[in-house]
Amino acid sequence: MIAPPTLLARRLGWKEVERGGRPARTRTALLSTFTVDPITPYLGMAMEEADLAPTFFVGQFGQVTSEFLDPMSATARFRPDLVVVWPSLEDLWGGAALPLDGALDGYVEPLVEMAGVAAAAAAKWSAMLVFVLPALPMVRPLGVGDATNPLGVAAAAYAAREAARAALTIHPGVLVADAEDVVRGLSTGATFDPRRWYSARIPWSEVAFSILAEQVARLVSLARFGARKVVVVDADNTLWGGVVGEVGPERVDILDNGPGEAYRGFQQYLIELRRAGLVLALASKNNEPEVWRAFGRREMVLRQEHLSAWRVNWKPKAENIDDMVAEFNLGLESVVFIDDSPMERDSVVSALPGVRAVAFPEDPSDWIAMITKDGFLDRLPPTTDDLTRANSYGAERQRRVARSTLTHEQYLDTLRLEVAMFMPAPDDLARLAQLVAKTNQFTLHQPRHSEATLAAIIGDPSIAVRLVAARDRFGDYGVVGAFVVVGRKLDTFVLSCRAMGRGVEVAMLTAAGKLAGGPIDVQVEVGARNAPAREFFAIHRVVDGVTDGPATDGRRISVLAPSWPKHVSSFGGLTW
Amino acid sequence: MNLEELLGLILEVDPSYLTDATLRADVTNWDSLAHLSVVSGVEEMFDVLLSTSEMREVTSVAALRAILRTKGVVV
Repeated sequence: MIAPPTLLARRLGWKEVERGGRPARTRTALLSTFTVDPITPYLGMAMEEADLAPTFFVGQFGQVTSEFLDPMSATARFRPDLVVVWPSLEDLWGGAALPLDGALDGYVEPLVEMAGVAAAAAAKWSAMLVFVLPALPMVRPLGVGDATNPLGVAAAAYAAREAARAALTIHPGVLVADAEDVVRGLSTGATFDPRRWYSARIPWSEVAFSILAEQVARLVSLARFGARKVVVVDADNTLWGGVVGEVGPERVDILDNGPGEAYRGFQQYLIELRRAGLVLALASKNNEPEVWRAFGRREMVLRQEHLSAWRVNWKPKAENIDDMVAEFNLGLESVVFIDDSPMERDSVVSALPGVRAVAFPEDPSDWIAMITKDGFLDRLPPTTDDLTRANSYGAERQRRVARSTLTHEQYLDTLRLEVAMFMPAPDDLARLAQLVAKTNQFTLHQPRHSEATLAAIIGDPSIAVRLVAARDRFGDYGVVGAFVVVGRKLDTFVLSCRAMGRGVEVAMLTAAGKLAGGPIDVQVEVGARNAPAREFFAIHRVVDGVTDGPATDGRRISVLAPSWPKHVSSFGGLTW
Repeated sequence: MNLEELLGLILEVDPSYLTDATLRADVTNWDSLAHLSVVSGVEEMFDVLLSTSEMREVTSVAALRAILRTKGVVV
């Protein structure tokens, strides 16, 4: 039997998944001005592979706004976790003449209006929204002349797209995908399929649907599970051409006009990644002074101060990476490892499950395009907090130096740790939602509220919500924790792992106890990675009036708030 | 994979149910949306392209087979 070609195999594969009847985790509604059904198998497979287990509801084409506005619409009754909205400008402009010499407003408004309605409905339904910015229309009566027309098709389309993007991104948590990116990667001819449009109002080819589906799944996955946080790079044949130990630090290739310049281009890209919130680390098998001599060369773009950690020695790289990741207080699944040696990549991946090892093409000129295409370093727009992360890990190194010579209590005293607890303002919603969504270690796990639910919780005067910021003498951690107290019940309690183990969690529980006005009801779900939280609550568990009970097993327990830790002071005023 | 097996997978029916005598109208699952899946399926499987009118002319398994024959695909 001949195997079906890739796209067909993918479509058939999705039928198989649907027949398998596994429980769905992401109820996904697709709404469009055209027949969008062909995206479902590709989106299904891409989301399945991203561990999002979707089930779909596809609205009738052309019914978008009414589905959002009618509280009894089929979409509303479907109760989606995720809504994907994908209009086309041709449909939104339907009936009217194409842009040529009139004002652009009439071409901009329909898209902006739909964006606003979609964002409001998604918030009301507590659903994640992915809004697909429509591609530029294929039909342009002026042809090549359209670009010279400030009131033409492209001008109107760009104006509408940007106005919609602006209207969407003021809503925290709304995700935007771009259909024009698909056209960019394929070509107009390969994206649009007029035969299908005239036969069934399907404007796009199968391959175009499949690419957009991958992008939407990547976005949802980033929002749901977070991005990779650490890039560990090799030095030889990664940051420069050649091997330091063979040709010497002054002869490795970082020269102009050739591969050396491509290596520098990659270094510049690493610096951009760092600006976007990624942490850079170096793992190199070399004599350390030689590596720094190479780093000291005038041509180098990447500098030692851009690195949050490094290990230059002859130990196995897995050991070095594990060590650095522990220093960052991050999990192995947050790490991308870049090394030209297949042997090094294999040994790291087999020793450290979760680490993603990346093989680059041989020519360094192709590296950035490869990263962009593959998407393993994709991130959502950074919140202020992410941007300070790279700096805070440098501070972590200094904290560890301080720790190594003192007892734990002495260390805590020297930290001059300060916390501030405050009620979240509307601007803080994004950070609160991020903390709740992404914290895996210090969390109760259940319930993991959506951003929309959190917005409702913030607005409820009977519920106490606190965000927690922390800083010490080595640096500012930023907003690292949050908790929600409903009556006597601790509903949510999350603390970023980079702030764990210093007493911030104790101070948080003290405050939660004040808010609850006595012993607190807590239910800590048994999760794969939340042992730190389970152990912490076990210490404060009270059984028959005695604290330090047995470890929590997912059942409801009673917890007695500890007294305020004496090494912690407050800044910005406590509110409880 | 022969034509009936391919159609069986796409339309989620037993291939033995599909013969040259089978009309589109006889197969409940073969609605307008599934029709486009049938077209994409044969296009990708047999590396051909159907015109807009050929898409409409596929009203039975026999008609589809005949159109594929005109493109040099014997199935």
